[in-house]
Amino acid sequence: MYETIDMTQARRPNGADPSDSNSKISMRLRQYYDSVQEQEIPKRFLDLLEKLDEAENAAKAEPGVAKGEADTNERS
Amino acid sequence: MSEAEEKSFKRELLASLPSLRAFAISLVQHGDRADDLVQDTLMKAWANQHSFQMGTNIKAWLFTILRNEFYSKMRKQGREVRDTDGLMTESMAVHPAQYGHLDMQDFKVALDKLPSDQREAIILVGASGFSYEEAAEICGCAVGTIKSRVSRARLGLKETLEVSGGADYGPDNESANSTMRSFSK
Repeated sequence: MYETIDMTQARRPNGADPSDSNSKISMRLRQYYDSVQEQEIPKRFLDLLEKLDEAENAAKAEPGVAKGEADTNERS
Repeated sequence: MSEAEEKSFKRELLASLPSLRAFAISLVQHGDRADDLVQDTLMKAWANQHSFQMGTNIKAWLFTILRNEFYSKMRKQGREVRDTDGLMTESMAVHPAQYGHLDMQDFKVALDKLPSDQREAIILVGASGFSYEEAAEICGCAVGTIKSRVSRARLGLKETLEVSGGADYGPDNESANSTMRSFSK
């Protein structure tokens, strides 16, 4: 494994300022992440939460009936 | 947990969804698997909501669950967590619909080339907004380990992106010239 933190300088004796290229990497990482984060949430997740909520409410209304359904969702 | 707390648990879950999903997509090397991972995480979180303390950081809690799910799936499927030669990565990583710009796809490919421990470290600290301490907690390792993974991840990304020649990442004119000079000597 490479433990040398200073590889940038070692490899690029005439290279650009490493802190500058670090900040470019950081910026691109955030742009990438934000672009994913801004995507619309797939409906399947909203439906899922809705279902879990309903199952739980049903379980409360009739203890022992609907509860099993919610529990099977949890895989160990 | 009271009814009011349950309502706000769901609300907080919903509020954390975009960033949870972004973490999954960044971590997983295949888009479809990312959403399955998010789904499993939501179900697990829901089933364990009694163990979550309202008022504490729900995002960190969810990220921890997702991460555990990710590695336990990896183990179950016997897949190599580390995909260093990038064979699988190259064929699977590009999902135009998921990463709008070409630029983003390049970045995702570079991210996928990192070992997963480095990938998660740089995402958590550099994009998801966690501190080194929080990231260490999520990953169950020492703060120093996270720090060194982040800096190795940066080097890895830099190397990949420089080699693939994105305009911003190629050598600038000055260093290109000096490289040329050193070759012609």
